[in-house]
Amino acid sequence: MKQLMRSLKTTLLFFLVISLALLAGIVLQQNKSQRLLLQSSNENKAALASRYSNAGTIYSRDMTRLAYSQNGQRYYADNPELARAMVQTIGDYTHNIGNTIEGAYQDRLIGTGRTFFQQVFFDFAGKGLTGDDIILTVNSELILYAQQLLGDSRGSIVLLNYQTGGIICLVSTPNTYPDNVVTWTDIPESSLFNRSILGGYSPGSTFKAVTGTAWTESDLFDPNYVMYCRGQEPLLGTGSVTEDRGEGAHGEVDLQSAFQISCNHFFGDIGVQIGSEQMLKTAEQFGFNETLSVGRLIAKTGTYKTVPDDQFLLSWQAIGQPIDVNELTVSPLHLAMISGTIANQGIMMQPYLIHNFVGPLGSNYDATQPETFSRINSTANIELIKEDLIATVEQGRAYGSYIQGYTIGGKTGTAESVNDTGELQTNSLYTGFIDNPQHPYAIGMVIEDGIYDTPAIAGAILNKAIELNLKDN
Amino acid sequence: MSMQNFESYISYLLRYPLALLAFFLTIILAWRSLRSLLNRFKQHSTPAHGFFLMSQAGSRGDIVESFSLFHTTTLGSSRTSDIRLKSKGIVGRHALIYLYDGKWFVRPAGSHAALYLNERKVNNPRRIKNQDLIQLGDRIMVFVDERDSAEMAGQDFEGSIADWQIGIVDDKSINSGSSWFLASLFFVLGYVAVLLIIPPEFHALKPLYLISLGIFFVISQIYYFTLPIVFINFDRAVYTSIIFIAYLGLIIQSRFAFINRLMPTDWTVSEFLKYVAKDFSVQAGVAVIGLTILPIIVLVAQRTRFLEKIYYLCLVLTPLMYLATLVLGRGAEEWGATLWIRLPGGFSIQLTEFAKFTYLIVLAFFFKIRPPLKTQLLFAAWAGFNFMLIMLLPDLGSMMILLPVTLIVFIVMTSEYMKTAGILFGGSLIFFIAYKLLSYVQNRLHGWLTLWTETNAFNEQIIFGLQAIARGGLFGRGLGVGNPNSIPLASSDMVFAVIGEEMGILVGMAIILCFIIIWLRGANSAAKVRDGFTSSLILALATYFFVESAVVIAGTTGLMPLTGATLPMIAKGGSSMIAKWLMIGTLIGLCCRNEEGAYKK
Repeated sequence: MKQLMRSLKTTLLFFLVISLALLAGIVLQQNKSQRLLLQSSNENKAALASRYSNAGTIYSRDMTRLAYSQNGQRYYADNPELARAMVQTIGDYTHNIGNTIEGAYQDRLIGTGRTFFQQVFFDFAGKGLTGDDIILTVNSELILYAQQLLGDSRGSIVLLNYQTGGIICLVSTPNTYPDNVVTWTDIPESSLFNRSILGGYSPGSTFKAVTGTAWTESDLFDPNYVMYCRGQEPLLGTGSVTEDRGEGAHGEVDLQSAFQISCNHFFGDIGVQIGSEQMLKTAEQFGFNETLSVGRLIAKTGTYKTVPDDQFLLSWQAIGQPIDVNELTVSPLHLAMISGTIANQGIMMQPYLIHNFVGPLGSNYDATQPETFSRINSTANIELIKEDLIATVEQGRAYGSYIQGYTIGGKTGTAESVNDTGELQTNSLYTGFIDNPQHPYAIGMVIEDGIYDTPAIAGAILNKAIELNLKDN
Repeated sequence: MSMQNFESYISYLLRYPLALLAFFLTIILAWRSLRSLLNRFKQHSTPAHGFFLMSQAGSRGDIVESFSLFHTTTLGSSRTSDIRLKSKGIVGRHALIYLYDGKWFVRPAGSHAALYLNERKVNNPRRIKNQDLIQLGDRIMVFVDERDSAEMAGQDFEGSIADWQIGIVDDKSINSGSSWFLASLFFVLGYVAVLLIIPPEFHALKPLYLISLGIFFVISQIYYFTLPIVFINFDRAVYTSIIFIAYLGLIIQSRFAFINRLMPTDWTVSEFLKYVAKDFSVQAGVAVIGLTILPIIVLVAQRTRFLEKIYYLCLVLTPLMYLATLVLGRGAEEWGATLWIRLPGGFSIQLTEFAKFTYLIVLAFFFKIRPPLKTQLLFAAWAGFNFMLIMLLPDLGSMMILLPVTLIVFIVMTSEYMKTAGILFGGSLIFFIAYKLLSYVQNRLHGWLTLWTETNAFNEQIIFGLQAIARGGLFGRGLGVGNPNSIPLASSDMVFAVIGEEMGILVGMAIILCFIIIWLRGANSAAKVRDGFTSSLILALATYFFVESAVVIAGTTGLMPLTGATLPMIAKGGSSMIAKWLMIGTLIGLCCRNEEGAYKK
């Protein structure tokens, strides 16, 4: 009997441990699922429709409905073009697109993400099953305009408030209508891919803004440095930066004129002088290689990877053209963040899309507070680059984005890349800003497969933003 | 469902009291059951003050040995005996000396053990007093009661049985009344909550709902108050736990039957109503029948030796049932397993559910005492054959449940830790072989390992279940408000996820607590009874309920791979429900077995 007791005691201990582990385990799994399993592919569509039948409304900052539920049905923006332009960001209730507001904020929209006391309060008010509304930072008119400007091309435009990080516009083309996504019909290739936040493009000359900043931050920086440009390419062979190519030479070039004429030879040369260590340091201060999210949405910052001590590869990296084993990419959002940092005294703000939530009884809560994402060491140095980018618009290649009466800074870029079918294509890029405290907007743009007048498109969007006189985005 | 009307609003708000009632009633009962078991251990592990056995030993009988007595003391030649006596004519487990109602008794432990009290052969429990001579084989021992000795010498004895029993809580003092009241209230509120949201198209079925669940409630109430009168030592804590689980099962299955059901487009309304009525009647009917026959099962288990007598039958029947399923169930595979045998009239039977019960009876019979190695090997061969058949079905769920139960019973009844480790290793080997040979097992494991990284065909069931549990939070979304349609096998294998979504994690925790209570009470009874088979079978049944619920809940919540087992008494399923009522009735009946009661009579 004593042995039976001993064995029973041991077993009791074992059972108690298992029981406690099970009790704690189900609570932990619930908590983990609330964070990681909000949405999933292949969910039952009828069940999802029922779940969203009473979900909250998603509004743009100008209070245009982007998604809403009525009579047990889920609808998207009344203007089909707007619905289409926002489809990769808003998503659909069937969760056919991942990484969207509908999926990532499902708990808020259907009202399951509340604290206990909030839920009790709403329950007794008869609103327990009513989801929260979400107000985004985007402006619907600007979205429509960007969609119109992009037309049939493949690309993306992102506009953000560089003082706060609020995203005012993000459109990615091609796109499709939400109803098509729900029924899974007529979906053009890559139309569900959100290029704005997930795209990864070679930045081309837009990266010179980073190289220029790295140069000002390096110990070798000389504001009066002038070099003689002998050709378009930064390096012509291993270890050489001076070989004469004989054509396309810019002659004597300093930092500002190099920005204006986008001199590859100059930026390749200073890239080698800066060295791989300082280049990496500055790139990381601009958010490269960092993990980025926009609220709960996964986003991509740029990737910057170089082989140390290879001047040939480094010089190409410095002009935004990664070759060989080097890696260099940016997303349109990151492009906007880079120019926004230059305009905002070296402070890169954390981008966000959610302005605030509105509870079932109409109260606003959880307004997003601006946060710093990254920072450049020297404000004085970044001011130099800002002036150079302004000069690039006013007197240089980015003139197309000039707006009468406003100070605009910007940088164009083109980069070659291999598309999905293995063909070489040239993408056009632009990064820029308005230097105005009333209109603190930065823009990032990519249009694939062609040479486009990106400065002109950027100018049009920026001008539209000024016209709309956006407040509190 | 939106809260368009007052009825749905009230039904929705009722989720708060439902979750709180479930949680608190089980917490109270679990705490009391644990305290009771710890006291039982204390009682059985402390030597009785003032009572012992004296014996002459040594080659010339010139040495006097004294042995402490415990609440229950086993005497015999085996290593597991509390007092080990190596002498001619003494068998492994020879005699028991135990205390009941302040008096000491002795009885033989088995039919082969010759026991004499004051030179008279003893076959039944006999009271023993100071200076009584107890003879086992050629060993004679004297029972010493120091109280009597002190009294005879005209002295006061310091200490008494009362001192020794300080802190001991008798079973009858476990108060399950408050928990029973809360469980009853839980049922009434749940009953009302479902009633309020039955949609208009099913109003014709309201009487069926009201009557069937009403009958179940009334019978359960009558039993709670009358069965303890009929059966001495009737364990109300086990009864309360299992009835609460059954209440919960009926509420959730009613919700499945009537709420948010989509009528197939090619059906007429009357066809649909008929189908729903039949569907619900089977589930509710099995519950009512199971509860109704509960006293008969308890009676058979307590008063007769029927279970001991059907051992040989179970020995043959267990593999036969698996074989029959394997042969007759071909073509009826569902979710990778062949577990159903189709019967005429659209019915099906799951013999494997009954095979689990017969397996446990055989297990208990083998390990009613610590068997010799030969017997253990015989059992291993028999169990191995059954496990092989289970693997062929393949029924991973049964494996995951029966193997741990076997291990627990083995280790408790034999205290052979090394062999247990060996069995554990063997079990792991079986799973490894199963993994290597069966794509079904590989897929389940792959699905589980990729749970948090991707959705695939092998883990989407768990992911959809976890999403539902996540939406439920602490108090749930309210009955009828969840999305069981999004979860495959929501009413059977994944019912825990639906409870988590609609009733909240507190109710989920209450379910776990209920099975913990059943185990704690089972362990208490296993320690109390003095018959190896009873003790072993109680332990097997209580452990079975706990392990099955733990495997299902852990599988549903992604803590381990999903096995396909179902939550006892809650999940949909006729065969499973009947088998569970048989098992619970047997458990309660065995807990009532009371040799002292028979002796008193």
